[in-house]
Amino acid sequence: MEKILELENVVKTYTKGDEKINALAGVNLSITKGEFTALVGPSGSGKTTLLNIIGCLDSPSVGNIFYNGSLLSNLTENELSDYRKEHISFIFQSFNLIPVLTVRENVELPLVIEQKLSKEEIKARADDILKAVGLKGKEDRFPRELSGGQEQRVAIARALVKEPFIILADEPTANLDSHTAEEIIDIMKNINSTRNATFIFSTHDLLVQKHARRVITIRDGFIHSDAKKEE
Amino acid sequence: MRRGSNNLPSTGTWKTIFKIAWRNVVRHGKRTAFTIITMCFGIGLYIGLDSIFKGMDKAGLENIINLTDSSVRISTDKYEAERNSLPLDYGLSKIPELEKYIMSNDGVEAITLRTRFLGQLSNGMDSIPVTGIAIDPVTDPKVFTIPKYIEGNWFSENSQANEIVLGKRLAGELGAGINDWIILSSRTKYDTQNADDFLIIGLIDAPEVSLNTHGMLLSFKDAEEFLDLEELRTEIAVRMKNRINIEDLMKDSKIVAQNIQKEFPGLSAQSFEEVGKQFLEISKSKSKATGVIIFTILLIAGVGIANTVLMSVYSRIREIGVLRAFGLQRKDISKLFLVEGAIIGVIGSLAGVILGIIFVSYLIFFGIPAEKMMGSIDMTGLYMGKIIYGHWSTKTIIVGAIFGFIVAVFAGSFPARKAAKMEVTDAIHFI
Repeated sequence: MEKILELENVVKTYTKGDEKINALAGVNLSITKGEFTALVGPSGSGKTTLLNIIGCLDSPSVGNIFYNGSLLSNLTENELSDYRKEHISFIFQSFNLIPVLTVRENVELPLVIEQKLSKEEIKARADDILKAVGLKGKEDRFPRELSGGQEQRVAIARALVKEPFIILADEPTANLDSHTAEEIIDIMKNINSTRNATFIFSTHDLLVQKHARRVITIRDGFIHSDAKKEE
Repeated sequence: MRRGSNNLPSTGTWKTIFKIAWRNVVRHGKRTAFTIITMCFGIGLYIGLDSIFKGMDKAGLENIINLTDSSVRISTDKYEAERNSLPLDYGLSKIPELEKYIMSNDGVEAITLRTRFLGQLSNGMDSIPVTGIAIDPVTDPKVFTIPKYIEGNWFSENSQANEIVLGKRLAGELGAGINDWIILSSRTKYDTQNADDFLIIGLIDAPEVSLNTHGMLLSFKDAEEFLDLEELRTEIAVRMKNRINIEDLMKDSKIVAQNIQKEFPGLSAQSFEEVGKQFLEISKSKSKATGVIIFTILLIAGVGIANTVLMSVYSRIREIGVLRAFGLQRKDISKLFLVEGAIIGVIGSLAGVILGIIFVSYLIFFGIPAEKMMGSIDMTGLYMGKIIYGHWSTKTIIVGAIFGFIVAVFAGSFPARKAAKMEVTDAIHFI
């Protein structure tokens, strides 16, 4: 299996006043392409910090992080920003769509920022992904005109549109009812299998954990358990 | 088609930044409107006030040229030194030679001789101090436009009676009118007191306070005997050929004044710019005062813009986080909010310019009824005609618009910097 992400002895230390807090205390982790992985653990266990570092939103204090074999730990903030722009996508708990942009504009946003495709290509990609998440015909609506489930679909489409190495999702079903949550999981799973997209999501939702093919439990900044399910 | 990636936002990114900024400006319509109204009011007021002051300056200078002192005023140095007391002394000599020389200068259209003096007008009960001017009724209208503002008659060549023309407000104070007799008293050239009855033949109702309130004209024919003038002429007034631009007329007048002083040492020749020096100084102070007012208003508008954009930043922290997460850099976030400030600035400036133009147009066509508004207040040095008309200044409009825009961008830059400084991990609240 193709390894796309590798963390080597990653430590993240924050300073709060005189106190030093080890949010991550030496994490080793490999992610292969096409994984559908859940990060679980109690609040304050280090899930968020781990997702920050995997998402290139933060740098580790110690340790290395490799994406497709390239070492990213020592990149500057702007270099990390450029890397994110091309290879990483996010789905947020509160959807975090841009309220003044339409569904289509929200989905196209990462490609516009990426600056690699022509206008026509961007449109075609957005059409394709909106169809995949079942939002065809709702392209010109604004987020306020959508239900929570539809908003999360837009967020998924926005995350997938640039075909990233990895999609990081923070509690993607936390703000949804169980029925809609199941729909969203189905969409993510479907995209995961049809497009071989890699998902890592932090979650407390047992339903999501049930569908994950790998569940990593974090406690006190360490990986407490790493369970892979047989297909 | 693949495009090269670089650190500069592409046209598409700029378009998106602009789109987000614009829609946010529209979305928060009320708070944006308040800010825009403040800006609009500030810039509109600046353009309007500047128009009034420039109009007053222009009218004030035109009054000097047309009603009180002419384009170039010539007298002896000694007379000039004692001008405030208007002595019947230090008269001009070699007048024909002087007149010939003046007329030989380029741009000179006409000249006239005048002699000023101090006097008292009395209706038998009350008396009021006046500034009298003895004039040549034939040549004076070629230099000054006073006859245009006369109610009644101008001096006739064949009149046997002592005739005077005086300011309408002055006549009103004395309860006198046309065809009334009035007593004029003054010291003669030989410093003896003289008094005589004069027939009021006309009233001056000019847009010049000093003329209206204590101005009085009589012909040399009557003044010779009344003041024992013996051909004493204290000044020559020169009319220059008209120029569209008052600055050009200023230059022409200055050259003629310099030529005369060079050719006739001992004479003082002053262009209307020098005569109106005090007036122009006051005008400069007015401009500074306007500047302070406008600065204050735009400062308020600037604080409003900074507040509007700052509120926008705080209400969109997550949005900032999302945009950073998807690869926008700090400087791009800064641009997003700078553009928002700039949009408010452009709209506010445009609205201000439109309001200013409406204001100026009204001032140019209808003016402000200053007399009605301020009554008979004599604001020394300030033009206080009946109606103050505005003056069009493209420069002021452009300066107002650019200044407003700069204030907006500058005010927007503080919250924009704040937005750019936010840590992406804090902003998105998750990861």
